[in-house]
Amino acid sequence: MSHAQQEKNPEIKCFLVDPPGSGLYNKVTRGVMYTKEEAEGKRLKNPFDTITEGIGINRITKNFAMVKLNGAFRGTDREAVEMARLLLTLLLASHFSYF
Amino acid sequence: MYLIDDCLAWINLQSQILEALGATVERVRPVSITHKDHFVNIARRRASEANEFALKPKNLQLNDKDTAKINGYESDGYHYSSLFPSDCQGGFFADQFENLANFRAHYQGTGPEIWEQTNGKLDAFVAAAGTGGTVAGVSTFLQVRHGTLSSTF
Repeated sequence: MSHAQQEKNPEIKCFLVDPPGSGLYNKVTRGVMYTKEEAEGKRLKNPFDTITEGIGINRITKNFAMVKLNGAFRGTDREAVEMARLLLTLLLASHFSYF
Repeated sequence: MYLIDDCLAWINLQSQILEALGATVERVRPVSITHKDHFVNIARRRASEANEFALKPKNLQLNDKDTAKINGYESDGYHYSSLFPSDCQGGFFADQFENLANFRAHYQGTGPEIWEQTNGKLDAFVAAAGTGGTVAGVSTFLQVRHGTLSSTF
């Protein structure tokens, strides 16, 4: 990649977006792995119902430990569905001229 | 929600492709990562079972279904079916959570792809984390290789 492009983009910010029930948001923003769904006395046998199955976690994996972040956001299931629909719409529009 | 139907159709297609390539696909219900039958935990268990299976003498290599048959006096001698093939050498759990090959795939693959396809014109990268491999690999590539390093960690 050319130097010119790098000079135009001296800094690329990287952020985490974390679903409900995951402790990573607080780990990134406050340094403590915690989510209110995991509070003492609140933890359920079948923990937390979210459509973002497989996303979010309550421990630091070796992979996540390598991350370089500027901050974190929380995201809801509704936002995840809306963004998935938007991305799918854009994908179909660009690939197949569906719309 | 037809989006979900489309996703299910896609997942079925992926299974069919893997089966066509000779893989045995075990379909499981979506459950929490902390559940013993989450697909990651099943994969870990199957790898361990395959290792146990490979170490057993051939005539003792039965699976649960076969044992039930024997208890019900329906054993057909030495022709047992098994979850694992008789030449099974053991199992390997890839462990996408702790295996840094995950990080490297995104550092060497996804990161450069994003950089090339945007011609380096991007202000921010936002991603969710499950294993953390995507966000760690891409963020490290973008910030260490192509920007100033400023991290909350």
